[in-house]
Amino acid sequence: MINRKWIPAGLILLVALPPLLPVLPDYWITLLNTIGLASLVVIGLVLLTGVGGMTSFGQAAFCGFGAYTTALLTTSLGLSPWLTLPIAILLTCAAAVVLGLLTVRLSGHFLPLGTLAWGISLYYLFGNLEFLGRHDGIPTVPPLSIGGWDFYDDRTVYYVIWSLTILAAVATLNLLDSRVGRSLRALKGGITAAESFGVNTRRAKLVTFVYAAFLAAVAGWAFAHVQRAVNPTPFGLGAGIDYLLMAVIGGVGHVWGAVLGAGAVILLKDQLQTLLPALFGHTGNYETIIFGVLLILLLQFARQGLWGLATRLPWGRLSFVGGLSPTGAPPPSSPSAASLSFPAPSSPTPAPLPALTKRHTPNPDAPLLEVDHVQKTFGGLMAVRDVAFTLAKGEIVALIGPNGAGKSTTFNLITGVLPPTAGAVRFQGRDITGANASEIAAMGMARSFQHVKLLPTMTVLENVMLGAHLRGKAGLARAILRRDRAEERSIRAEAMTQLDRCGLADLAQHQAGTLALGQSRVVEIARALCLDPALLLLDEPAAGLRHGEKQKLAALLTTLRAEGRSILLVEHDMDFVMNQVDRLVVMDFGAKIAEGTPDIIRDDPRVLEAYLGGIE
Amino acid sequence: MDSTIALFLAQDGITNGAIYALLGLSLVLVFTVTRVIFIPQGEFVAYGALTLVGLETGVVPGTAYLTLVLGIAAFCVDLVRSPDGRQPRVLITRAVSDLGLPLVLLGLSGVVAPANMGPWITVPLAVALVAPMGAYIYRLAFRPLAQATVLTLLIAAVGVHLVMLGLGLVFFGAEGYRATPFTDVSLSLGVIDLGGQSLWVLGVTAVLIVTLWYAFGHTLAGKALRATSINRLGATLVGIPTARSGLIAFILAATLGAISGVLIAPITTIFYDSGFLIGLKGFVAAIIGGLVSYPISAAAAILVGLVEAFASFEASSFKEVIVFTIIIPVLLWQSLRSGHVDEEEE
Amino acid sequence: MSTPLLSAQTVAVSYGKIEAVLDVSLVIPKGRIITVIGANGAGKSSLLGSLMGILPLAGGSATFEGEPLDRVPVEQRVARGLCLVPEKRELFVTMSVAENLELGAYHRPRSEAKSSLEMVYDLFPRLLERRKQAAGTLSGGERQMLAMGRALMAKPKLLMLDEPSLGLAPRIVKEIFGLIGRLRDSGVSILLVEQNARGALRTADYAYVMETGQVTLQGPAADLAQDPRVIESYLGISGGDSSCSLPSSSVGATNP
Repeated sequence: MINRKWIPAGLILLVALPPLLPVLPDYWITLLNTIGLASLVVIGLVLLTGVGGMTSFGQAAFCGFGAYTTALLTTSLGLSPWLTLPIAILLTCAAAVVLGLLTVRLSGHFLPLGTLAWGISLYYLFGNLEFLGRHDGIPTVPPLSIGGWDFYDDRTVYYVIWSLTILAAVATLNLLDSRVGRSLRALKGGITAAESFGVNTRRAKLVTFVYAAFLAAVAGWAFAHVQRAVNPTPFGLGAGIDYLLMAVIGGVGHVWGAVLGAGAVILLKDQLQTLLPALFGHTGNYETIIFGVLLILLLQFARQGLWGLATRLPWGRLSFVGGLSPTGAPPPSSPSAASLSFPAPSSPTPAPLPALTKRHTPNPDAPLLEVDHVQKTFGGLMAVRDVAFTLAKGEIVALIGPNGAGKSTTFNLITGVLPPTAGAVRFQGRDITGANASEIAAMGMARSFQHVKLLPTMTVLENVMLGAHLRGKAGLARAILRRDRAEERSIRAEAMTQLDRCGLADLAQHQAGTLALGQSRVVEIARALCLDPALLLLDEPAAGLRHGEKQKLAALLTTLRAEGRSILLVEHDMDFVMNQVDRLVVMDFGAKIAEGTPDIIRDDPRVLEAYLGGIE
Repeated sequence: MDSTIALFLAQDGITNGAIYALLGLSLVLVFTVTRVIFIPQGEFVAYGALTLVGLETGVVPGTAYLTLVLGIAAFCVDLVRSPDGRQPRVLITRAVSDLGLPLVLLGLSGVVAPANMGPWITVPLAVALVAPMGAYIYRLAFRPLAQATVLTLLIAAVGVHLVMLGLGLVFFGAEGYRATPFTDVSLSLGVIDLGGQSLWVLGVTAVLIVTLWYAFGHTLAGKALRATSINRLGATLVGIPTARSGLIAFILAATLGAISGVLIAPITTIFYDSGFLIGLKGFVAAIIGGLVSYPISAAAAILVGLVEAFASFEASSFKEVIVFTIIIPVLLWQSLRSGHVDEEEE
Repeated sequence: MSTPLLSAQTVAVSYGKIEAVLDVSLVIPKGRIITVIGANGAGKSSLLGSLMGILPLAGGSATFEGEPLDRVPVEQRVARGLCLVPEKRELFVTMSVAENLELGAYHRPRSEAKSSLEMVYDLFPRLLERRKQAAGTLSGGERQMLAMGRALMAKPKLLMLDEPSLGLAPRIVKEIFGLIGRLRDSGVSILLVEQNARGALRTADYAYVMETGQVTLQGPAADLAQDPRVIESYLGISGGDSSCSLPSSSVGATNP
């Protein structure tokens, strides 16, 4: 196989080549410039749609915001374009933050609808404001220049545009292969799971949305100086829809799919715009018919888009670029989503790993967990009534009871997934009633789920690394600039350690979706352990495990207890429970009916009654 | 602004608001039953209006052919996709609804268009030509994606919008048209004249809303539709064919869209792409209703119409900006009201 | 014996890679209560879902009144007399009790529905009292009654009940089990999936015990009620290789 190091260099050469070829007509260069600018916007949209599970019709409007900002400032105040770039970005991102804040709390479809309205409003605003030149826009925007050398020529501008595009693509790939990126990717696994290891999902959504707006602002800024004029048309809703089209056609699961989609749509549009009017005898945007049909067919038959199709071809296997993967399956051999990164990812001599944050051990005097007469009603149904128990440091307690007894609801009340209707929960002496799941996770409480919540297209290792989310610090900027590698190695090492102690190190590079149910449950335990929890809540950890695996799990629980961690578990396997736990809390009909050591519970007639059901 | 102008604007606003109400109701219906955010709702408005104009001016409208083409496509696709549908009985039913119906409509258009018949013939025919498209579009574009996420369905809806927009241009050209009013009568109420067409809009809307209210509240079919939107599994378990509920929702949406189109065709000049913006105003109303509430959406639609009318007088060039900015406080309010993002849990 | 009402041969159900039901065969004769008991996650609900047609069969086949059920859509199964009351009830919460019941008879002529409605109100007088209330405002027991009533409106030949006692107070559970017996006496066959083993075994004629997707025991309900292995399976104790946590003698003592 070719040395992978040469591939990025080769690609850059390939991208650098076109303007140097005199045979290539100017028209093609212009077209390539258009593709580059569109790619910039679409990369953001791919992140938003494919990773964040949201979408936006307003990307063109964000472009417009960037473009008009720079156009106005450079023409009226005579500022340099390089000075207006940060201003354009700042203003656009501010608008995105406002729009995002309005919609992140609502169900997913309110964001696209909000951006739809935003797109239209802004289009008409651009077209009617006197100081923005109304529908004529602002002509005579200065070109970009460096040291007095103006970039008028399309062949020169080409380098600016494609540098920006490639930078954006690499930055996005770097972002995805980082602590922040994993938390964004975790959005697809559901809010409950992501919050349980400390991801603030609202903020993650907002970050995704603002990042997409940021790229659109840069594209808009470049557009203004390339066209050297702005008017409302390229920033209307139609353009916003075009960007969405490019993202879906290229493949919303892949950063490079954005470039492919932009290229495919723009080239096809260019061809169709000459072909179709000739066919119909009039001018007009007839190509939308073809694009619409293409969109629907892709959604029905190849949802991973052109990039997904391309990587399924034989030569696509030689992929030098991983997918960012929610829809398309990356090859299992590449754990990292971004292989096309500038610094070499691994240093030959292992540098000492920076230590991940360690939690200070809780005050040994206070009970670790105090469940103080909590209640939960759903509609008229009381799922949990007046349940109270405590858990000391280093104790293993099981919560048992027949199906529907309210055990899972109690779990959700403790972990902050649901707020209790009455009562309080205290953890390490602090009142956590009504706190968010992510805040509670940050205090050192980790959990696994009855219905396994792993991200099926991420590797087992990446899933487990998500558990260490709160123990890293690297933010967006460090991720993009790859200043997070040392911390990433620590997180990876920590994840490997936890996987290893759970006996699943061999599966680290497998996709989580390929595991058997029992293994998935253990992966969730490893993920929870990455949080370095003081309290571990396990929802049916032994379900689906074979006898030998159960023994290993039992041994693991014993070790964890010896480390001073406490464990609360819901389990139906009585044999497992009776031999493992210090105490049991038995629930029936939402209420606690018994509590005590296994010996006491074994002989409690109420427990027998609850389990076997009494109709007398 | 004096009271005459205010009254005139109010009349204008309520007339448009009534149209937005019909569209808002369609959007809520389609969304609750099928989870599709139906972006192309407005295209049915343009299709309805321009089909009517075609029939009036003696041209067989392109929509007549389009309905036939879509019918044939739906027929063929179902033949491939559902092997159960190859039994003779099903085949005959489908042939009638997918091939027979559009052929008859095309034939009728061929007779009606050149004969210059009055609105009593052309208006119902225009609606009838557009309505079946709802069914065909549902079967071709959305039913195969029934299990997909709201996001995927939304993107598919964008695809349908693009196709319908492009076809609108093919069939009707880039010029705008206005239909002849149904009646010349106008009603004088004190200082203002109520235009005949406005009366038509308000009357028809009122009748439709009452009919829908009755159908959803008091007929088994209507209740089945509501049941599907409340609990799809529950509806399946009592034997409601939920795919048919989706079909009915789309037919209703197309019908209401087309009716809106023929109603406003004499009031406003309609271009092939006018429907989109009109439909989006229906969306503003539907969003205010949280995409679930019929009464709130209907009331909000009237509000949108009024805001639009007064905005066009006070700040005409910023009319659209003002109308679409209504969404911002609405989203803020809804956001503050919803404490917790609900997720499917146990 | 005549053809059984429902017969399932080596039925399998899976969710992706996870096999929930493996080669389960069962027979439901006319006019009987058959129960399937087992611990949480044994695959009972998946079995019901596949018989109803809301989950695809990964293997095996089923017949109803001798006719194969493969690829018969759910609505046709309902029309043929197969009804499921799911574990979560799946009511139309914002519609009234009366509307919920009316929709239960979606497939039947309105005149027939009327007499069924009277029958359901006779069985559940509480539903009559609350007929104008939204289903979402009912208590747990009332919801279960409404779910059963809604299913009965379809005039089922076979009524499949998934955990009807789930989350209900003992008094209501007793009422529901009593009702199941009466339904059988009125000619409706019943497939009862339960965790409440004692109640189910007392009510049923014949029983199957499921464990991790498979039938491990079957026999007349009265016999199984005496079988200590039932208690074990039910409590999910991995049999054989370990000491029994809940001694079966104590179970025998409380079992009349």
